[in-house]
Amino acid sequence: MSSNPDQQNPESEAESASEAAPHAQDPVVETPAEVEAVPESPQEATAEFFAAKPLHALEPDPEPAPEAQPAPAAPEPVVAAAPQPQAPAEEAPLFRSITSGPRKKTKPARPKAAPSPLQPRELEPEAGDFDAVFEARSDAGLGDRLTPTACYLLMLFSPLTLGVAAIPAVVLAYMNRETAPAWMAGHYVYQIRTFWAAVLIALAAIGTIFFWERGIIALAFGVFFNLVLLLGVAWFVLRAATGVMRLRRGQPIKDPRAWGL
Amino acid sequence: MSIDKAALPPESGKTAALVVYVLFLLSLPSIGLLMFLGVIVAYFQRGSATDWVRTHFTHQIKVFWATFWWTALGIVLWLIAIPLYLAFGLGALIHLGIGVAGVILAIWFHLVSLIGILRLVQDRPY
Repeated sequence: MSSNPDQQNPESEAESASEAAPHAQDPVVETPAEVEAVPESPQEATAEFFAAKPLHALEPDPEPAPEAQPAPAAPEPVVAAAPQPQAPAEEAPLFRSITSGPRKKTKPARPKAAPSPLQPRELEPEAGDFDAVFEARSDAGLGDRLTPTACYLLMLFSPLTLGVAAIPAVVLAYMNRETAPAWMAGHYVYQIRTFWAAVLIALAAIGTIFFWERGIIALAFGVFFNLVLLLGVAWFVLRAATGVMRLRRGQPIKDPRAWGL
Repeated sequence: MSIDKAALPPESGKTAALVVYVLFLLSLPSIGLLMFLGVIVAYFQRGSATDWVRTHFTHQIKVFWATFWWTALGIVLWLIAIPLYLAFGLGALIHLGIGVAGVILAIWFHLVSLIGILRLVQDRPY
């Protein structure tokens, strides 16, 4: 079954690829004994499949290349060559959230006998469906991402509260940083470093107040104060915005210790 | 108000108008608090000012309310945009627009206050 390396995502990690092998090849099996081993509900299958897999590795395969194709450089002809009557991957929205209401349970069951070995991976209902993973783990739509998302939203709220709302965010980040999975701990580190950098920027801006008594340079320091504060707030908000959008897509922060956007 | 306008000195209220402009220009470092103080002074001094100074007070009150309501709208939109980060990328778009509009509003506010100061010290109406 796993002797088909072409169907695996070449960009995914090696250990996750080896664990993903039984799931990715399920529609290909034809003997009845192995068909019995396929889990009944797609939720079960999802939870079992993604149990030990890092969540950021759940991106859909950008180039599904079955073995019949000589080169993996043509994804569109693959989809056109194997049209399936049940295409639940098209119905499942890519981005879902707690604001989108409860998830509809109209997803059809996976066929137990795959009609074609050339069925591409992206037509499987679970492939790349991050929200099915999270909802299989918990009833909340955000699942494990709820705490880092709350931290990001508190950071986005904090400019209106003069920075006070960022304090519970960084406390939550410190409390959950150790126990979170690695890709989510990167988000926490990113939040903590953003917070402390913003504290330094605010202190630098406030420090210019003490130069305002010095006569003619008062105006210059007033302008400097405003510029530092403006750029600092813009940097803080943009960091939080890009972070929450990466978290929304289930992606890690590439370098949590970098200071850029 | 029964103030005899003809009996007012020709520069009545000029110092108060200057104070209001300075308070306006210091409002951004003071997170807007000094702007409220300035408009209170403007409301109290408007009645007892000569005609050309009263145009400055009227102008300051207009600038205050324009800034106030645009800022209030920006805050409300900011709060609305926060949960939209979870739905799709619209939250970032709204926050970006609020940031650009806020910078434009701040530049307009400071420019208008500076122009007012320059005209006031030259004894010209706004």
